[in-house]
Amino acid sequence: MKNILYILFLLSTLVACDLSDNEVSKPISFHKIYDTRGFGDAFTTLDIQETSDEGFIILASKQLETSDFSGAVVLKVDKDGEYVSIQEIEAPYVHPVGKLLKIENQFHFVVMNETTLSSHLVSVNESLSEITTTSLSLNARPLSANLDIAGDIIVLGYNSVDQVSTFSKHNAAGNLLQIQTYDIGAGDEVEVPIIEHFTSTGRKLPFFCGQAPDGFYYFNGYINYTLSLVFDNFTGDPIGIIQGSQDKKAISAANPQSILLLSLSRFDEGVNFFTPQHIPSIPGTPIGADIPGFEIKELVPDAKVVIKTIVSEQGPRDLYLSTTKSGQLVLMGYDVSTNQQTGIKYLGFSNPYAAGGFTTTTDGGLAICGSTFQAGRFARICMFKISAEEVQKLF
Amino acid sequence: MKKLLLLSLIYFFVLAPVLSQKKRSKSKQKTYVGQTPGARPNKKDNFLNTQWWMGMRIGTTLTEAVSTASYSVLSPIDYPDEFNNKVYDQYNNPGLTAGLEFVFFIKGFNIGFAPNYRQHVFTYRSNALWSNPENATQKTEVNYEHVVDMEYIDLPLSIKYEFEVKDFRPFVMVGGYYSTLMDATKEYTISGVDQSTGGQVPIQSETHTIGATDLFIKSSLGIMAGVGTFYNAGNVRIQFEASYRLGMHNITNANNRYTDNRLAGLGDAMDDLKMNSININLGILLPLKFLSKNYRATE
Repeated sequence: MKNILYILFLLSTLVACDLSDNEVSKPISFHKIYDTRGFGDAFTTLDIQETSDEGFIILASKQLETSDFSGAVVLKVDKDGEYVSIQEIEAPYVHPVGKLLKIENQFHFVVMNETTLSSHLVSVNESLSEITTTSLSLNARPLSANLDIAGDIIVLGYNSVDQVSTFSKHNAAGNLLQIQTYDIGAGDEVEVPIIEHFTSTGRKLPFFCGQAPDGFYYFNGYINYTLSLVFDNFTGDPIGIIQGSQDKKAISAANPQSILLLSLSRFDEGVNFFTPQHIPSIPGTPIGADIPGFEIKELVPDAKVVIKTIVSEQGPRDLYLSTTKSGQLVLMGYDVSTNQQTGIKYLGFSNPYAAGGFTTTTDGGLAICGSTFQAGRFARICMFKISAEEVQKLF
Repeated sequence: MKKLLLLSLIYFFVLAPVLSQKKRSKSKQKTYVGQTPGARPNKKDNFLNTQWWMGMRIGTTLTEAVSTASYSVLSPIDYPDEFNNKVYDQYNNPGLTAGLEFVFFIKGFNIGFAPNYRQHVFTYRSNALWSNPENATQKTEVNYEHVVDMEYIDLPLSIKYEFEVKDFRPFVMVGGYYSTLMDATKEYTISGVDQSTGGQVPIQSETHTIGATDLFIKSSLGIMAGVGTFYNAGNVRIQFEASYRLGMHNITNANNRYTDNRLAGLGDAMDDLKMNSININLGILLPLKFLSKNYRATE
């Protein structure tokens, strides 16, 4: 009897060892789709940030039946990606713009007051239980927002009265610190694409702004009739411009390591190019957007692209996120120093997907947000979490 | 590790019962083929009391997948999680099993090892619904049917105790098994009704098959019990066996639940599953040694 018990014990121990690999206390990789029943619900995902409890907050816009503009929605999910809560920002605040800005444990994003067409800062806590809205004292519609190195908020906007692009800096309380304006040029031909961008009746244009590690501020916005990437430290006299051709040919994303080393993507009449290593002749005269690069044939025309620097085991690498013609998300890793692609990963099957944004996570992985179309038609927020091991394979 | 497990199984199911048989009281020993009643057993008697059989078996499996934890890619915002739970068909899809069988007979006990190919097939369904709260007739309902087909190399060990009833030898059987997954596929069909544009338009997709091996772990371990009968037909034994297998662990690969799932976009993620099955086998066994002058294996 003792022998049998011993054998049973030995057997159970061996079985436990053999199958222990299948016990996952916390999913390190997952995919979630945040579904609603509503026939008319349609979400476009903008950005994602990790919270201190290893959950995530996702910023999205939602189609409104009562407005020409889209509403703002923030979604809280837990560390396993399960839905926790959702908050819809009430009227008159509409048209949220990325990025989702994290300052300590508060999250901020910029919206538009649809009555005054001015910019406002929305702040939420991690649990979404507290939401405050602050005026940015900016008489311009918001196009993009980001944090600078000092943690101040920089906003690219459009003033439709004066027909100027605005580039401003604000503190976390919303106070205006600096502002500069840039003429977009006279005539409806310049303004129409911007208005259609706001009302989602035309193309979504790749407006963005930021500050390079060497201190230079930049924005991708309208100036002198074209959508251009502009480097200017609020002087009104840009130190460098990569000039597009109206909205047909322009930069779609940039990740400057310095003003003299940029990782770029651009589009040219629908065709997309990636340039992981561009050394511009700045300062100097404005250059055209015909920058040499790799043609990425698989991307949708004029694709939305997000570029971020990821610190990998091999050193800093650039990661590009975009959307393929087959309706998948694609991550492409590049070594900026060699201008070479190092890895590629596709995400999403069965239904179409569209890229939103991504962020690194405390466990070394990536959280990627996007939109997917359930049953091929119902636009829903989705996210992928991939492990550190999968991220390293990209580099 | 797997080799150690296998050796342990062999010891537990083969050697331990044999050793325990040796320890039994001699007075309780029955008289078997070739043995003189009441006589002291000798080496020749032991030889006559045992037999080795080898044969083939073929049969069918009916599988039950039991969900122990439900998972879905869909995380609902405005309806209950339970709506996304899957419904599993039970013992609905026959699978094939075929292979060899080796049996060692001693004093009414048949200790068997039957390496074989084994197929388990099960079906589950889920559905999704989108509707317009302001117009009850405007809705889209989509139903997903998944047929999972898994192919294993199966290594069961069993002990059968047989009763003598003329040429029939009914038996009861207990045992355990270790199986290793060779291949798995998923066949899915999408159907439903689309009432988004006024009419009732049926949704009916073609059936697609995708690879699903990475969605499951390699190992499958469990216990089994059953009944059956031998029939001595001349020099061979015909065997009919019906058994029930109880899976002892989750067969879904928890690490690949989302990442290697080509159907994740449809909301599909594998639940944690234990796999049970009903198995019906027919076999034929040939003796490996002859115990009488007329070359008959048994009396």
